[in-house]
Amino acid sequence: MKKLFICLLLLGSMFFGFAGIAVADEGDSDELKAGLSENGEYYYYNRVLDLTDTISAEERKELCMYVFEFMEAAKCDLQICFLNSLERLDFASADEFAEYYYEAKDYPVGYGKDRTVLFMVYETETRRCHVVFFGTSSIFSTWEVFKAQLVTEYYAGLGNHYDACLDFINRLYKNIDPTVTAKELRTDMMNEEYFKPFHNDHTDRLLDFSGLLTDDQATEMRKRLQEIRDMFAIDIIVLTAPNADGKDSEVFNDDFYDYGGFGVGPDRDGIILFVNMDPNVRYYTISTCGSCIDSIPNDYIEQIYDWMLDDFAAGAYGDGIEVFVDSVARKLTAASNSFNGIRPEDIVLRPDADRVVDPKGVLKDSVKDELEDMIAEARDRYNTDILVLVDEDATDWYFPEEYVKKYYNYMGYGEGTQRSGIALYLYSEGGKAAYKIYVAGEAQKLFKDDHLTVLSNYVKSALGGGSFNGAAEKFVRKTIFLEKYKHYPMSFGMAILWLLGIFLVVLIIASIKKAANKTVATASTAGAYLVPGSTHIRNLKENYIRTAVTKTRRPEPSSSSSGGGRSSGGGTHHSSSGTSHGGGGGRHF
Amino acid sequence: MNEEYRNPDFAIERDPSDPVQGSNAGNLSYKCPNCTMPLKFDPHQNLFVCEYCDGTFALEQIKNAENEETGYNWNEYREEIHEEVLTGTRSYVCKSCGAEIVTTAVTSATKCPYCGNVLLVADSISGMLKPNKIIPFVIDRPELERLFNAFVKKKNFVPKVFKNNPVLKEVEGVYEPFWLYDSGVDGHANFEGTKTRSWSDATYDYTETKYYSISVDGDMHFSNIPADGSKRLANDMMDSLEPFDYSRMIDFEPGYLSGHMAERFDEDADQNLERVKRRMWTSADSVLRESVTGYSSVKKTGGSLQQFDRDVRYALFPVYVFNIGYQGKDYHYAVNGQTGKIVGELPFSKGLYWKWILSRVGVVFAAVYIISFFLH
Repeated sequence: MKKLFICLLLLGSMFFGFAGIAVADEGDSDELKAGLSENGEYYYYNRVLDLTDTISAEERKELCMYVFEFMEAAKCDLQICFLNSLERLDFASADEFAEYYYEAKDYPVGYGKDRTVLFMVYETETRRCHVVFFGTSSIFSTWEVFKAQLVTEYYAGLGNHYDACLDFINRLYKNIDPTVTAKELRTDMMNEEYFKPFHNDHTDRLLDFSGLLTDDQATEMRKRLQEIRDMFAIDIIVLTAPNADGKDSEVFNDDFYDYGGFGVGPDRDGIILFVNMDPNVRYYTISTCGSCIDSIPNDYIEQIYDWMLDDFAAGAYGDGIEVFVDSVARKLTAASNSFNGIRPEDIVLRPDADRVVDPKGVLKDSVKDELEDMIAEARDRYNTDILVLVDEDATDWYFPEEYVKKYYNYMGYGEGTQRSGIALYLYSEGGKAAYKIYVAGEAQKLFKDDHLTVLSNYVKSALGGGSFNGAAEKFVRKTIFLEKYKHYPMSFGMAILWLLGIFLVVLIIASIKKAANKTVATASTAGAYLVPGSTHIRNLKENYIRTAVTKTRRPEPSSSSSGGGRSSGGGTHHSSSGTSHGGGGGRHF
Repeated sequence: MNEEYRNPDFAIERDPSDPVQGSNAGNLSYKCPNCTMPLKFDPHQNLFVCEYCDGTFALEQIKNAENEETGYNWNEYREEIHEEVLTGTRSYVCKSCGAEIVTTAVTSATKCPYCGNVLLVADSISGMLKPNKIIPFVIDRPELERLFNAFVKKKNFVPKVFKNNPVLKEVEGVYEPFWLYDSGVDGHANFEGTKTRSWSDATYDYTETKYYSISVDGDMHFSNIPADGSKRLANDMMDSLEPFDYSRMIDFEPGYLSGHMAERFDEDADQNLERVKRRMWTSADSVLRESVTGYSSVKKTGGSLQQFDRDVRYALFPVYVFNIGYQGKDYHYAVNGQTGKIVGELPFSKGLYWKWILSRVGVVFAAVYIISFFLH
């Protein structure tokens, strides 16, 4: 029934539109080619369907004329539809709506025999712009169409349907003919004066217009972005594109985020990575907004740039983007004051829990059992806990050093009131085996830097052979060895250094004492025999000769400049919409 | 008699003003009037240059200095010293070391104080030439032993046998002959002085150095610079006995020789003059240098020093000399008989030296180790 109602609405609108065009037709019928009939004749009817009734008849006529001009250039029909809601009109999707329209026999749309046409359908209730294409193949760049959609959503969202249409046609027209002069918008609303924050929940958060990710990577990435959004209530967007619409990458990134309606909550918390694949630019930049400005500070963003650079330089863009997402996830996790749902006040000591934690079963059972026995004995004897943790997935969310620390503390490890102990975390990073050691409580006095260096060297050499089993075993054995000899306050190397130092000092003192035995020396002065008061100084004259000035350049203060044009220091900057953003800067690759 | 004291080194072998000879002028044996070191001719300046004291001299100046040196007349000290032979003294010559020993007629010399030879032969010809001054012995023999024991106990790494029971062999108190020199010194010195200041702007650090040429004249007087007149005792050892307390120096009276021996000088005043002059020049240079103040750095660029109002006296100073044998070697000591100052080489025990070092290293390391337990 609703569809029937819409059909009547369409007919009525077309009639009025057609009437308007018919008036113009009297002046110049060549300008009114609107479609080609089965007999090769053109139809003349409205190309702008405004069910929201915000575009006047005059404006509609102007827009139609522009569409016809575009149609000739693009060899593609264009149908623009403004409506309140597809759902209310009983259409399941914009495709269904467009198809319904496309198939309406009385009002054929489409250019040429292929009836090529692009439908732009805008829903005012959802502030959503749909594009549906009919014809043999798409002649428009998906990136350009996407930008046109986003801008339409922004302009139409502000109620300016006329400029929304005009900008949409402008952008498609430019995509077909870069030399064409775009029609000027009546009101430039992309600035602070008109900007009103809004939320765009429908757009994909992985916008890979440059096709840098494989399908599998893209699927995983979308899942990951959603997980992060769910867990931390922040928007995380990855945009790869062949250009920045002629703008500076960083400015474009901020504008894309703001005018695209990204972000969560009233402050639009979120972070966006923009990879500009323009061959003349090749630049990636990150922008933060809302709470992310503080939770992911600029100096950390500089680190992310550096971590990504190797992969980007090597062309492994998918891996580089994963580094970005993981880094953001880890940073946000680190700020969280809980672990696996355990809050600090819920922590309970677990003296009977496993000391070799290996949920994925990476370690051999025999090794696990042996290590558990050794650790149990060592805990009784030395009152220091030992934990071996193997969990490769955890690094998706945690910095390794953060994970082992939180696991040890929140999962109730440690001996005595200070929860003394040492923990080894084994994981993989970039396909390579890696480790982190964490020391807690009294054990910090036992395991000093030099001891940890010794332990690290053993673990490192075992991991070099690719053996997590060997690394875990070496770690436990050497830790117990060090505990056994913990009453040696200094290492052998340190003792030798002390001995040499003391020997040197004592040798110098001995030489001075030996020299004091010498009592015989030739007298070289006669100052003791100078008659007091007999000295007369005369004619003391000073003549100035010359002046020499030397200058040396002062050392430059160290600075961490970014590859981008803007300062990457602390603080925020403002985008054209007036929104505060963190981040900025970036790296060329 | 003057010819006897003429400095034979002051012979001019070439005329440096002659350009042909001047090219080889570096080999000429002129001596610096200031410091007596060999001069070099600088053909650019047409002057003689001393590389040791930085003095520059025209040939004229050198000749004048030569004449001055030649006419060096220590206020006719020779007449006083050589012509007045003491009566009531007896002189001996050691056939072993050649020392000429003088005692009073009533004191019999039995052994040479320097070499211990007992075969002293009375010399009936020469007597004691009368000194001008004498410093009598203050330290007696028992005091000497006490002082030596205290001295040796304070020293490090001396073998215990030597330290605990030093046997002072053939201790002799001898009045040693010393020449006492008086001289005025008149000098001129040139210096290059610099004053620096530094400042900075945003880009550079600046250092400004201003250079000045400074000249100064000055005169001063030295009195009673001692130099021993005996060949038997090493000059450095005798220098090391200084200072003597001149307030207790009195006009010579033969009676002070009673009970002691005295040596007759065998190095006269001229033979010691050079080293005395070096001491004076060093000190005079310092006095002139210290008069230049207010500069960041001062470097001497030239100058000259001359003596005036010279005088010399002959004096006897009290000195104990003795040896201590240890492990087949004799260690020689001299003691200032007035002040008790002891000089001489001490035996060195390598064993004690390393024992001291290793024990200290051990103690300090143990302390560090124990402290590190508490800090651990």
